[in-house]
Amino acid sequence: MRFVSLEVSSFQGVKAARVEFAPGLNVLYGPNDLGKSTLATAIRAALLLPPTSAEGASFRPWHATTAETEAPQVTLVFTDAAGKFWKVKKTYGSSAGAHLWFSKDGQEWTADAKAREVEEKLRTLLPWGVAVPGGKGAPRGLPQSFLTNALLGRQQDVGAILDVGIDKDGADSGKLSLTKALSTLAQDPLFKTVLTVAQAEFDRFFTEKGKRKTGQASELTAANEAVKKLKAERDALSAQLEAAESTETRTRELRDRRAEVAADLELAKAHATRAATMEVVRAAEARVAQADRLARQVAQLSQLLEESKKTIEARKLAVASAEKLRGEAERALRAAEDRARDAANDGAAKTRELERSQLELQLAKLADERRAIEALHAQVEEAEGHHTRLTQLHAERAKLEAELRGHDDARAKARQAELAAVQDVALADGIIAYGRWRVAKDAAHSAVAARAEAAKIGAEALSKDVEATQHETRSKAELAEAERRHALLPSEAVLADLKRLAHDKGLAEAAVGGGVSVLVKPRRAVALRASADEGSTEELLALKSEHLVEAERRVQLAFGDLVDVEITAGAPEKRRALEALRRRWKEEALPALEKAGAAGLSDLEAMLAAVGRHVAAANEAKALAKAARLEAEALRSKSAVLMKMAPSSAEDLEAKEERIGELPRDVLAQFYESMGTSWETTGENLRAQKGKELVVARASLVQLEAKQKEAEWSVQDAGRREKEAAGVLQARLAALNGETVESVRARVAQRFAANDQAVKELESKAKNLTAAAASGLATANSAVSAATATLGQAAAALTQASKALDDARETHHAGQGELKALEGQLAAVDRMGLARELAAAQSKVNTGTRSGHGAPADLAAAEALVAKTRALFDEVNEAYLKADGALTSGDGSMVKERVAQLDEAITAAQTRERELHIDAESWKLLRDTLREAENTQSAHLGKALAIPVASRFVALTNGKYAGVTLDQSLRTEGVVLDGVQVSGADILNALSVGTRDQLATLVRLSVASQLKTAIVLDDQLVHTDEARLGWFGDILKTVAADAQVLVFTCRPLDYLRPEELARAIDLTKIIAPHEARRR
Amino acid sequence: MALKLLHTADWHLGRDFPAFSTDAREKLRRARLDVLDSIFAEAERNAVDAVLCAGDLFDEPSPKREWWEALATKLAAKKWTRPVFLLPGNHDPLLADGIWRDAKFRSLLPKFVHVVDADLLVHDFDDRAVLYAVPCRSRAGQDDPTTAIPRRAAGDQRIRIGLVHGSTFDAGDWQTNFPISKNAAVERDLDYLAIGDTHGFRFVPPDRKVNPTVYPGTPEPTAFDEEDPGQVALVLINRQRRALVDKRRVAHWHWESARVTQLSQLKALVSRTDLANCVMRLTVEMHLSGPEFEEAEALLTQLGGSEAQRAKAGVLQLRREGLTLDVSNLGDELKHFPPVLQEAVRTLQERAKDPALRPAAERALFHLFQAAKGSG
Repeated sequence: MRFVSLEVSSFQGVKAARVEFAPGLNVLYGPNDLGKSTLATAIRAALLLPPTSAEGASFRPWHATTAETEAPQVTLVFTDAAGKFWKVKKTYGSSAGAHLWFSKDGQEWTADAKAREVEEKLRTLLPWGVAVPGGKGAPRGLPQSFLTNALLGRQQDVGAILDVGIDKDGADSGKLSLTKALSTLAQDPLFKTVLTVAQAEFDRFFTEKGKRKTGQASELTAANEAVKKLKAERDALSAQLEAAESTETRTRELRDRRAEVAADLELAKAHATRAATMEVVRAAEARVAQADRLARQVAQLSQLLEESKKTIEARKLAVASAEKLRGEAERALRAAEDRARDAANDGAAKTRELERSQLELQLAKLADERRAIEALHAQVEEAEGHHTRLTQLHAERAKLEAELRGHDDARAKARQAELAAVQDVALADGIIAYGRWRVAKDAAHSAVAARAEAAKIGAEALSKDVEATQHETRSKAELAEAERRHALLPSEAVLADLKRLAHDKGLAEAAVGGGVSVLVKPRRAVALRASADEGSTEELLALKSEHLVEAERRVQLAFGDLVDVEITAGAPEKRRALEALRRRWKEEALPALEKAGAAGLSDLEAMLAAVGRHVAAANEAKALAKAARLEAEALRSKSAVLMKMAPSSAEDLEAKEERIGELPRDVLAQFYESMGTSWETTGENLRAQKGKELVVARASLVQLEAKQKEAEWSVQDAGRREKEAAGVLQARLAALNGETVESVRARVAQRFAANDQAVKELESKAKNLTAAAASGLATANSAVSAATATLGQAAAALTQASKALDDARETHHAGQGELKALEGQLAAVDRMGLARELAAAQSKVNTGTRSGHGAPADLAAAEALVAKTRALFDEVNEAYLKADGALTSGDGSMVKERVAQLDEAITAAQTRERELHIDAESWKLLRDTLREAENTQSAHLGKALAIPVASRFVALTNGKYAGVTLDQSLRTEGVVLDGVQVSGADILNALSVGTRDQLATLVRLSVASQLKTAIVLDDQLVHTDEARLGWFGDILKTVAADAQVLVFTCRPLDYLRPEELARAIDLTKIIAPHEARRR
Repeated sequence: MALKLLHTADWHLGRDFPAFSTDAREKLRRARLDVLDSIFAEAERNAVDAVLCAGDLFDEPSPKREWWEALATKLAAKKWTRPVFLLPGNHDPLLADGIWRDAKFRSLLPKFVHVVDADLLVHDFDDRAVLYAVPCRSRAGQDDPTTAIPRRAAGDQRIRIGLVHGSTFDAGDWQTNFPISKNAAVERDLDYLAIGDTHGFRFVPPDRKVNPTVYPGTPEPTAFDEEDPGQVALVLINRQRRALVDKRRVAHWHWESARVTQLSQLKALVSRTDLANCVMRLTVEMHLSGPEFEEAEALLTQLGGSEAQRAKAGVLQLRREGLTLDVSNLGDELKHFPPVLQEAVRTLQERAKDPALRPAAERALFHLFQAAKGSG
């Protein structure tokens, strides 16, 4: 904070005043009771005291009769730490009010707050530990805090600084401000380094507010995203894997199930086998029984055969009778048939039958032939199908070959384009190279001249340098002379004082003038020295006669070494005044005149004027030197520019020419000339353009070459497939025995047609034959039918008799056969063998698979179970094969591999995330811990502030006080006096009043210096000796480099050297006191 | 009548290594291409009659262009006449839309390269020998590919070689991937059965009493748990005796897992001279005092490298959860700290007693000492 201006009106003893403050040290001086402290009070009021405060009443003008007419008012302009201007205006008394404006430039103002808000805003702008009015901890009257006391403290209020700590503040803002300001002071370099590193790493991971960075750039987010991504991929694959594993499990289950069912099948088969064995036993038993039955049957049959012999003989007689009847019926039938044949006219019927059978035979042959033709036709169709496929493949290959040729053409064109582009690029390069060579060559010529010119200008520059040096030397000499002379001369202010003194002395002398006449009458010869006024001294070594000495104001006489007499004219008080002035003249003017070697003040003035002339001459010489230097510099630059035009080396020129290459110079020269002055840009542009074209051409060529190669492979592939198809066709054609497809097809067509025709004809013939036979035979056939019926009856009777005979014979023969067979069987039956076989089968049944529970009862049930189990096996096997197929089409093992890879990656990513997390947390923890430690350390404000205070106090007291310690609330805790620690109440005894005042002032200045804010010192250090005052003056100037210092004093020379007095502010010219006071 | 072959498999071009850092992933991916140069150089040096590549040459059925193009370019650069057989495996099976049916890729391959893109490829070596190659047509399968190889015809005296991809199995085992009978070489009367799938070099059966069935393994390792990877098989076949098989190392990288529990072990590890080609998984389990911890950190930085320091290990996968700082023993350096830093150290030591804060507090202490040392 810095004060800019203060304006008060009707404020205590000041009617009106306006003062502008400068940065740095401001010494405001004036005599006692002028109103200096009122201005300091007005500043405090403007910044701290609410207008409605009761204390505002004390600001009323002391002479005022009514508050209404002259309300105390103060307007203070200040800047904040950011350089922003603030203007606060407060009016106290009955028309109390407050306004606050801000401005960027101190000219244009914008209202910011008014009334009570002004105080709130000021507490924010000036965080000095003062509570907001009306708030908690808000004081009544003028608010005070450690900082308000330090920066705006009342006159000589030492106790408020040394004894009252910052812990008594109404708000924490003062402590925070000071802590912040002092933290820098408290930081150890090593600590600072570690903190900087920790903060930088913290910033990598966290926002300013300590939250984790979550943007895309955040490493933590990236690590987390990486884990999430991997997990998502793994989860997706796990689902696939689960499905694959499920398929695998199902396959395995089905395989096991299949094995189980296969076992069941085997068991069922075993049961069937056992059932079959049982069947064998049963059969063996049956065979034994059969053999027994056979023996019985043989006996019975032998008896029956004897009876049947008799029956045969009786039936032979019946047959002979029936044959006789049938012979008669046959004869009748033959007669009828003869008649029927006669009706049929001839043997046509036989012929038709023959023809029909021949026709059927031919039709059968034609049907065989048709099947042969169809087989041949199928062969032809197949060959043609292969031929069509071959044709398609051929067409495909032809198309691909055409495409390949297209690619060849395109590639050839691209190749040409590339060559053209290469030539264009070479030409563009040639033009550029030629241009550069031409320019270099031309430059070589012009550079020779330029070098000569540069040398000439360089020489001029040197001569200017010499001239400048001469001027500088002269300037320095003049300045030295001026300084030498100035050191002997008083300042202009002193000279003015001396002139005033000389003037006063002249007046005083004039006042005592009036004439003095002394007549010396020697009684004996005496040595006399006499002088009148300031005139020359007259010496008379042996005065014997009267001698008159006359003067205007004074006569001085010396009689040898006996007596000196001085006679002065004028009234006594005038003379005393003159004496005083003379004394002053002697003390003040004569030493200055002596020092300067001047006879009088006019000489001094002349000498000062001479110093001024020397300074002017020095400045003039300096200006000339500067001008000469600039001129020399300009010449050198020009020379350098010309030197740069130096030609390329011969090798360079040759190299440039070589770069042109083999291109014809005349062509290049034409291009070069046509491009004008911008040939290089044009050439480069051309080169860039052609270069691009070349790149495009080459890319196109590469692309086309790849396409061509691809097309070549496709053509080869198509050729291979065509060859395969041709091979197959060849095999099919070979099967046609070298005949062409067309001829075979034609032959097949012919044969089909011939076959169809032949079939058609034969079918027609057959139809005709059938129709002819049907009509002629009807009548004859009916007679034949009657005879046939008679014959039939006779034959039936014969047949019946024959059958009865045959039956009897057959029965007999059958009986004989049966008997023979039975006897054969009986003879063949190995009754004992059968008995053994039965025993073996029974044994096999007994030793084979035992029938378990649920075993089939017989062979049929066993075979049914086998069939059922086989069906189940087939079903399970089919399911297994399907599952196996699903497994084959899946990729379970690869997914498993990938899942394993991802698991490993997830572990690695999680490790990295964890590491990063620990790293981030560790940097946060480190930074926070360092901050805490720092706060703990710097919270002990006393230690920090004691550093500048103690060092200055040691310097002030010439080491008498080796150290000052402040407690954590900035109370003065102790001092070291002559090596002895003094603390507490003893400090009061140990320090004199003046020293305490000085210590308090040092504390205040140190606070202001750390906060870099303005401080008001109101008549401090009144008990300080001159030596320490001089030291303080220097300290104030040091502090003023950082903070504005306002010193209100009646003794400006306590803070400034005489020659600096002009910088001080004479309050007598600023403060207008009230008329009543003036009176 | 002898035949010399180079047998390789399981290149897995395009395989990713997601468990590693971005740089390391790139290194390991590129290594799978670079090793092909070593393989082909081995083939040239030994003047082999053919190169058999037994499947899983790409890591997936449709790899990215950068992999197949690079492979094709490498092959196209060879001025060879010796045939190179590329067999589709279960990772890169012969699918309609797979890489082996890609016209662009196929058009880039030189003539001496034979892709096994039929159910059975039969290649005759001038009546000296015959190669039967059977590709994988899916990612998984239950059929033994060797069953597609015809049995020796009567009077056929040629050397017979099989080239397939899958897992050899015992009848009792359950295998999902192209199970190959371990007696396939005998059953099919093959003089040499070249297979791929397993990543370590392996003879089947290990006793080598019959005609050899060999897994050459992957030429460049892909994981820490692979046994004897990084090789190719150089095979000399003569019908008069059993085929001779020689392992030849071609890998650039070797993968290694290590665990250190003492600082001396870590020092010894860092001082090794064979780490440049090593992919190392290092597990650190040590509880160290301040100065020791710092030394361990420096050693780990040497191993893994930093912006300012080249890594000693080619690739480092560090597991350092077990590396902890003994906060009760931070060394003498603390004495030279200003009070404010000493205060911070004390606070962090206190916080390290809380198990929840311990890792961060230990790390913070380490950072503090490092930063202080750096400034000194």
